[in-house]
Amino acid sequence: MKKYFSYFISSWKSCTAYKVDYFLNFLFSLVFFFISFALWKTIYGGEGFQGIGGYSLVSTITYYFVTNIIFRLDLGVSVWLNNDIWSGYLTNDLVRPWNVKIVENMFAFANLFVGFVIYIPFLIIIYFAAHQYIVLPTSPDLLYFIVTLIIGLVFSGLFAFTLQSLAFYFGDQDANIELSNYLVMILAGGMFPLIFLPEKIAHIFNALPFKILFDVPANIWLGKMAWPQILHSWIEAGIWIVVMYVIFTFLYKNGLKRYTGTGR
Amino acid sequence: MKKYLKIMWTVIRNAYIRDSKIPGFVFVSLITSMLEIVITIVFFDIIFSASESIAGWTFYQVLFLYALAKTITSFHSALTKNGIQAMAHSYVRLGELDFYLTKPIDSMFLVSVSKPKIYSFVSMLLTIGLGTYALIHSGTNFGLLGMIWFVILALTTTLLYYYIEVLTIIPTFWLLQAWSLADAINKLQQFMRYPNGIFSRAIRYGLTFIFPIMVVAYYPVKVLFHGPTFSDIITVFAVTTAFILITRYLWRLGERSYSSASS
Repeated sequence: MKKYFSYFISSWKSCTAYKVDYFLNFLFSLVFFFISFALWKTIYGGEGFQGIGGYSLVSTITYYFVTNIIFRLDLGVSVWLNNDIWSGYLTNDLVRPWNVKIVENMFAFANLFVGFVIYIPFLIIIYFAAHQYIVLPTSPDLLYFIVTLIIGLVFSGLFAFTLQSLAFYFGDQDANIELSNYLVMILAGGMFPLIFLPEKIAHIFNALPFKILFDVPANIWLGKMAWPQILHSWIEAGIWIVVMYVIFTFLYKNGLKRYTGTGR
Repeated sequence: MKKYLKIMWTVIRNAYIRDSKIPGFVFVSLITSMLEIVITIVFFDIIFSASESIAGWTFYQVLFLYALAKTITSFHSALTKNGIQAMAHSYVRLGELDFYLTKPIDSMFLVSVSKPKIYSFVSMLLTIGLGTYALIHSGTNFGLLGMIWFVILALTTTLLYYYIEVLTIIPTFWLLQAWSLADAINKLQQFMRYPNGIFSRAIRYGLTFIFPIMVVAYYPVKVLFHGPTFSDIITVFAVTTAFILITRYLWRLGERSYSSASS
């Protein structure tokens, strides 16, 4: 256990080796929120605007505030398994006395953890800049929100590991990862609430598991989901997590047998 | 000039040979680019299903603005983006910049075209098509003068965008590694998609004169739809000239502080 903790700490340090770079990255991450803020304020301020899908201006801005938090907790961009496989770097981990899956997770979590902690001051800036348009959740909703975030985190991590395991079979998956990250962000409601979509499309998006990443937690924060709905989304995500874990285990186990460690 | 065109041609030919060996990668990258265009259209459709205009701009006008912004970014993505990003990722940190500095060619040019992604020209063709469609459906009566000024200003701001792109990564000379700066332009280019009327006066001013990302697509399109004005034309030329001079000066300054040490 101690060795994994040490790995976590050293991963943490390596993530913050270039501090200015880290800081600037978060500074530029504010752009999406403030553009969305300006855009929706203008739209809602327009004559005769009725709102979309029962969302008021405050709900919409709060939605973007919450998704801004969740973006910092996206494991999909912190997993480097694909890179380790095609570069041959995975060999370094395989020959060491530790579980490769755990150290890969440790690195991803360290990256995420550091990123989230450093981002907190930026979130405070956003909150103070737009506090008139941001609602805070009730205590039970906050609790449900945190649980949903954790479930979403596990799901996104497993999804990323599953996708990146394909590198064992088909080589570099960089382009697929980029496509998948973008697609998942849309399907999950990372760009706008799913209820904004035309009914038929929203229906399809809601049938997929990705909504647990953005749309469900944001709606819980906003108090738009009743307890039975929340429970239903947890169970649904739980089933997907099991399915994803089985697929990942299969791909990883068989992939290791094909792995040559030569890199490209 | 001839020498530079010859180098450009060689680099593009090499990029074609390289990309043709990874058709799967190219195909998926194009799908991602197309998906982004489709999702943006869906997003605009959502907005305009509930509102007739944004800051006085109709659906097709905003769509045309997006198409121009995307055309300019795709053009640079095809020729210069990867090279400029590589500078922020590794050229300075690993000392690879030596290769570009020791050639009898302008180093900024050589770094910029070092890794072209020519398949992005396909995205550019798509957005030109989208822009043409939006322009036809916009129902705007633009005169010949507006059209001529649009073309002149769009070409000028295409150049401006390149210098802004370079400017964002110049701090790499001092920071050694700046992944965030390589990605900065991707985030900041979102400002180009919307009419500037949606932003507060301070942001409009800042993104026109201090970091002129908003000048790139907004001003040419404004001139097309609302007619050319002296102040708009002067703004574009003055800002572009100023940023060319500032960027070139800072690049030279950065080169002088480059120590070639690698880590």
